[in-house]
Amino acid sequence: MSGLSIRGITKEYEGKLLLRGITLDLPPGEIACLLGPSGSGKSTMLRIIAGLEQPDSGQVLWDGQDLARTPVHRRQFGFVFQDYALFPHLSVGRNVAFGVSRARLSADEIHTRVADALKAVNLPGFENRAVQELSGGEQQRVALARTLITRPRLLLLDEPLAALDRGLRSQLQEELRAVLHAAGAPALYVTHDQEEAFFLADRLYLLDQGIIHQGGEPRQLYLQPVDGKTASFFGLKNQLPGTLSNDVVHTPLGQFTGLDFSNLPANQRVDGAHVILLLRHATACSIKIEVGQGGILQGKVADCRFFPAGYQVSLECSGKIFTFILPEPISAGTETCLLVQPDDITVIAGEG
Amino acid sequence: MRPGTGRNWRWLLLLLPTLYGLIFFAMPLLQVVRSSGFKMGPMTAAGDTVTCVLSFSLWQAALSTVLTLSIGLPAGYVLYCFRFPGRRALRLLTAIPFILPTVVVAAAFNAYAGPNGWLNQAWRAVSGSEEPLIILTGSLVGILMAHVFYNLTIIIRMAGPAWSNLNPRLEAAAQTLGANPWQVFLHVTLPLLRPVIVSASLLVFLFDFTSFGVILLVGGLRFSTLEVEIYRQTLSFYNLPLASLLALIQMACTLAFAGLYQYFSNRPVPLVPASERKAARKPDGWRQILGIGLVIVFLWVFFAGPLLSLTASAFWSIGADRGERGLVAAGWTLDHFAGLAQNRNSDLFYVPPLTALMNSLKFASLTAIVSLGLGLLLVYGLPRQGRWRSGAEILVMLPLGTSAVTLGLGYILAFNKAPFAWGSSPWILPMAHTLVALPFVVRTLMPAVSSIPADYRQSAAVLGAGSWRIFWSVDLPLIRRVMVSAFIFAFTISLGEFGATSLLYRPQYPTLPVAIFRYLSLPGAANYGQAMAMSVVLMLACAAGILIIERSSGFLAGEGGE
Repeated sequence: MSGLSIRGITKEYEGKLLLRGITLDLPPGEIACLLGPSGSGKSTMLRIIAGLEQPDSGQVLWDGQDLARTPVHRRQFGFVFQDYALFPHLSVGRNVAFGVSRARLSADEIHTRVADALKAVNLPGFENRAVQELSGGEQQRVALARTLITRPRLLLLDEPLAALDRGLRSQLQEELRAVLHAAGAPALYVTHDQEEAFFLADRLYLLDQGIIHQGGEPRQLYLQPVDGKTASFFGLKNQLPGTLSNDVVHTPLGQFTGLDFSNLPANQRVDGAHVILLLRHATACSIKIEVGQGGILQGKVADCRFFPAGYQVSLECSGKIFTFILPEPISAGTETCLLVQPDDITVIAGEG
Repeated sequence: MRPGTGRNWRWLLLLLPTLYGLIFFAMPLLQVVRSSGFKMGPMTAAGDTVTCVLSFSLWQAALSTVLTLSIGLPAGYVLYCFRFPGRRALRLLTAIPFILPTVVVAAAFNAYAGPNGWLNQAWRAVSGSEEPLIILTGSLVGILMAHVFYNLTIIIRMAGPAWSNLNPRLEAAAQTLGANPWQVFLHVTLPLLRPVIVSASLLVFLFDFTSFGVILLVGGLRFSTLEVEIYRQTLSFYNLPLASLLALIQMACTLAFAGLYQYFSNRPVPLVPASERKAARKPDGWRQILGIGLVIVFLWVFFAGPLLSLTASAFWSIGADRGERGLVAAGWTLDHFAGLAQNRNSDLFYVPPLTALMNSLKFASLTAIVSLGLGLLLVYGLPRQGRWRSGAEILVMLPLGTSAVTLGLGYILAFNKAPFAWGSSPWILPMAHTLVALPFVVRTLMPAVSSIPADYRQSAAVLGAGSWRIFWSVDLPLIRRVMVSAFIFAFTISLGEFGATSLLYRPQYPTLPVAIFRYLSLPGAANYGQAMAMSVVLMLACAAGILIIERSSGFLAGEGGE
């Protein structure tokens, strides 16, 4: 196996099992995102790969070789920190040159490479600036240049954009994607922001409570989440549990028919199996009608807000809230029905 | 303007402190300047003395500072960045010498590695030889060690907390960029700590440069720094112009170093925010455990050695010298303490040690009362904000930058003729001690007084209380604890003060430090033992005072660093 492989990493932190056996592979040239809520151990995972922390058990392999005895400075893994970690006592140029200053290069060569690295992150001519003068976005670009100039064989990024405000973040996301693809080195990118992860990742790993729940291409993860928790992490919060019987799902809110069960494992496609319906879209229908396909949600509009994409309507059905984007507003307090088509429903295995 | 505390009469509070400052600080220093300036002409031989003394002062201070730094940095790293059993106790131990009077430290070094110190007694007992193994007293090495002993805590307490709170991601970033541990230390850690290291070193240098008691008592007659030479020229040769010239040079140097310190102490060190601070880590791997263990063992031996030796010597008779009657056998004894009430030396100039202790207590009480009174007047009289504020503060702190020996010389010059012919009066001593203690008293009182919320006083005023009533019923209960601390602070400073005292004391009224100094320089086992016993008494008195202050502030154990 070439590139990075992680095998069964565990790590305890202050008496709590933070990582409970992490295994993943990162093929050459790919950008993988480790997505997880804060406190899920994803930063610790990254620090273990870099060698900044030692795992309690498990292996970090590079090209099949165990790195347990390779100290941080010999791993040739670049690391970009959330708080940039620029050296405050050095100028921008000397920060960028830090990683190559020990290589046997002439002063001219270093100078050229620093200039190129700064140009690559859109900060040409910043060599003599003081680090403290820079904005957060500029600092993170310097940090990126400082890492890329060493031509690392793997790039580790620990929520590099988390400290920036929203507008700057989306601008830097695009720059980052271009820079990472230009660098060509595989990258492991840690974030808690699913939009960022979808934007950057060739491959996505969902980390929660110390284990990887699901990994794969972003599209596959979104369309076929393995469980309700994964689904809600991707923003699929309209979840309706039910029981399968004769290809009809019976839920507390009514029957759903004509569904596609290809996501369910074979042993779950039996009568009496517990499933969860993920409802992605709905359309308004003023009277309750019998439909052959899909299902109906009947309830009271709890809230209706305008968003650029449409009106966000929250429907309360038997104490549960479902939220959809609709083209037309429905005023709060109205009793109404919403039609959910089979194409907008994903069936996944439920608990129990 | 605050109701009830009219601006119109506030300055009246400053009347007494100003008068005191003019008479007991400005006038003596002016006399020093005058005495050195007017008689410079004929002193041709003085040039050599000045050069020689100045260069030795700088040389020994530089050596001491380098030594203190090279031990203090690893010590601070270990004491603040790692967790190990006994860490709190060791931090406390390293801070103890800093609060001890110089005579006590000198006596401790004498008891540890003097001619009759425990190291040499042990060596004689083991080897059967009559020759001592090592004599630190009377040598440059002894001076350096005593200075390290004294000032190590400055480096530890300034560099240690900064080091432990350094943003760990900076070092991690350097590692991931390919720097090995040594390169990380050299190119990242050290440059980041530089501001703290520089200002701590300057402070240590300042203390070493103005060191008096250690040089005189540990170094002995062979070594002369500016301070010692001022003392010697004043008392032994009565060459007051030369002494004044030296004092002037001393003041100029001190001011320059203090200015440098002020300049560097404002440089920031990149620390992690308090919320992110992690507890100190456990040592990891055998190399780290070994290195840290060595530092810990060294610190225990280096600090506990002299202090334990001193205590043991007070209870141990070293046996009689040839021709001395009385104590003969070597062994454990309480005689040194029992003899504190007697005057063994029939010399008129000696009093029983107990009398010296009583003198010290009297002077210390007077010092504490006067300096607390002046301190309160200053704290309430000084403007609380505005452009006069910082200037006034510097003025109050000025005595800190003046060496006690220079002050003593100034008093000798200023108070020898009418209408100020107080030079022979015993109460001139508490006046000098007050000047030394006053900056500390003000520094202790100031934060407490300015932190009293204005609306307390305002609501009292609204309820119809007058200024005096407000002070009595609002301020006093709030600052009572701090006043006790300030009182004890001044008391302890006076108890251990040696620089000014050595020039100003009257032979009939010696203080405890003076008595220790005299007994240490006398031959004979009994005198040696009594010097040790007196030192233990003084050490315990100072330690008790500081412990009381410590209970309300928590300074010594360095709780602030985590």
